[in-house]
Amino acid sequence: MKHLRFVVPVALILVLVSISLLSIRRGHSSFLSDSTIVMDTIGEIKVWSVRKDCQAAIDSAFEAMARIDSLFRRGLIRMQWAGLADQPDEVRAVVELADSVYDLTSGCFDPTIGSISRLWNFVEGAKPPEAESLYAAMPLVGFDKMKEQPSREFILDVGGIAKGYAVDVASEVLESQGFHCAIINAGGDLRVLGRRTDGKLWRIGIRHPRQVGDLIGYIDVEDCAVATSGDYERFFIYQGERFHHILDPRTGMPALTCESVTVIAESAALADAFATGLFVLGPRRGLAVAESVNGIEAVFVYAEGDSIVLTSGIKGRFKHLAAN
Amino acid sequence: MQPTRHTFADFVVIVSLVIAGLYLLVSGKTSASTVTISTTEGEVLKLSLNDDRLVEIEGRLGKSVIEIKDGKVRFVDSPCPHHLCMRRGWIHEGGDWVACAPNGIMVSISGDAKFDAITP
Amino acid sequence: MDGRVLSRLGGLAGGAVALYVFEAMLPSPMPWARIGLSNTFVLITLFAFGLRQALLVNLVRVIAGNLLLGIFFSPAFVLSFGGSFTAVFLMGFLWQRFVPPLSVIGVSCLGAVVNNTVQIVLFTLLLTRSIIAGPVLGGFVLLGVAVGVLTGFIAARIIEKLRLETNLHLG
Repeated sequence: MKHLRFVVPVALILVLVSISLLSIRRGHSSFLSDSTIVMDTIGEIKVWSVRKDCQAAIDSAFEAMARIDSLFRRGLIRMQWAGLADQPDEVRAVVELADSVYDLTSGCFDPTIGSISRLWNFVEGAKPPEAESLYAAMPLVGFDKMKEQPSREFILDVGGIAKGYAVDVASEVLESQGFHCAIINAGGDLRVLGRRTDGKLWRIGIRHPRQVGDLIGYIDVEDCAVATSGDYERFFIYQGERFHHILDPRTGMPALTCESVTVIAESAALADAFATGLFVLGPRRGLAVAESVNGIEAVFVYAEGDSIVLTSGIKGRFKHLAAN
Repeated sequence: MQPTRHTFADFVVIVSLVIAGLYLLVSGKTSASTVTISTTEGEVLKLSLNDDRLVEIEGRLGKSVIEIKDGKVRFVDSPCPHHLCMRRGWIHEGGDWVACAPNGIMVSISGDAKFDAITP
Repeated sequence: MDGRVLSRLGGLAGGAVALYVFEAMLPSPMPWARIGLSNTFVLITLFAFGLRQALLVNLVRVIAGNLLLGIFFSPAFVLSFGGSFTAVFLMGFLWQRFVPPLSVIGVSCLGAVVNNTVQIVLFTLLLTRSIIAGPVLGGFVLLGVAVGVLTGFIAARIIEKLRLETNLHLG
């Protein structure tokens, strides 16, 4: 029995040490966070690191975002297809990306919607534009038309995709400086680097499209970008009908079937563009497109938030939250 | 001394454990969630989500009014053109945020965050 | 270990397993957390036989109990294993050094509180993403005190009876 006198204190110390070690390992709170106004929204960067140059890296990432912001300041760019080569590199990159998503979504993501979207003003008490003005602008909508008429000026609406692009540029700045655990967020277009410091996946909440302040579910992700297009972000009610900012390039009117589409992709620009394109396509055709494109996963929410469909790749990583 | 008869030391142990338990029970409630209100001018306010109050804060365009009530927070008034911040209504979830970009004011809820980020 | 001691230990372990399984059917404030009624038998073993025997009974209780419940090596098993062994070690230590001034009841209380605390710490570390909430922990501490007093009194009565029946050496 004598040796038990040693066993007990040693066991207690072991238990205490392992508990404290576990607590330190999952200490996921030691991050540096900073926010700024960028792209007409709040840009927020959180970096988990103990390095001293962390704040400097965040500042340089914000500078990169501000540079993109200044290139796309008004969200609308007037340009001819023939003049693409003269545009700054960043603009070219965004337009080329938009071109590829245009093809993949059968034209449902179309930046040339700019001719139409400038006629709309999504503020409270607004009215939809006159049918004649929409009709007159429709010939200027269509990326294929832009390529067919290279010397004609088109108006590109790159607001959404540029925001995602800014997030991507900022994440590249952080990654190139060796920071691999971070969240870069610009108004809900976000990119996560790596995993949480406790080894768990990042948990991203998805807003309920109809119950303000509530979440409809969440997804657990690592090292990817997430973006959502929702009809509840910018809209007005006119004669009892909701007019929101996601326009269908085929009609020039707000797209109907979806209420929100959340896309997971490798880059925030892609996620952003696909969120818009899949929203316009709707849950049925959109799901088929999302399944067919490699590296794209999507969550479609419709019917007052009652219906949710997912691509097969995220079936186990999405959790539906019951309304409270 | 028989080890099966309760002693004064037992009493001390029980009372101190009960006090510790009650202390934990009460202490956790006050530090549950905090609301962080920050402006682009660098002003930062940290408030408890459990203390109901109205906060007036000066932004780039003017004064924004933020209300904290029943563990929720919202923009009541802001001098921005589209009032997107006010439209977002009440937020309550840890990790959620609402911002008035034109006025440069951001409100976020920290504390026991169930989510690392919220989209959009 | 003579046959009589062995048969007594078997009886105690059997009682612990039975109570453990019964307890799993009671409503609990948190899934997987046990309130620790079966600790009575471990406590009796500790005071009537010693720490090694108490550890043995505890091992049988945790393994046989979880096998019977069909949750062997599940999160519940990990919580139960970690919590109960920490508690038995602590109670053994108290029994060696602090009895007297403490009696079975004080030892039982501290054991139950530590059992609950370790379970909730393991639960938060292994199964959730949040930090341990003060009120939840406080609740489990209070519950531990209550259950500890109860099991302590029951154990004290049984130990007295055992001592009257036999001439077992008491620690």
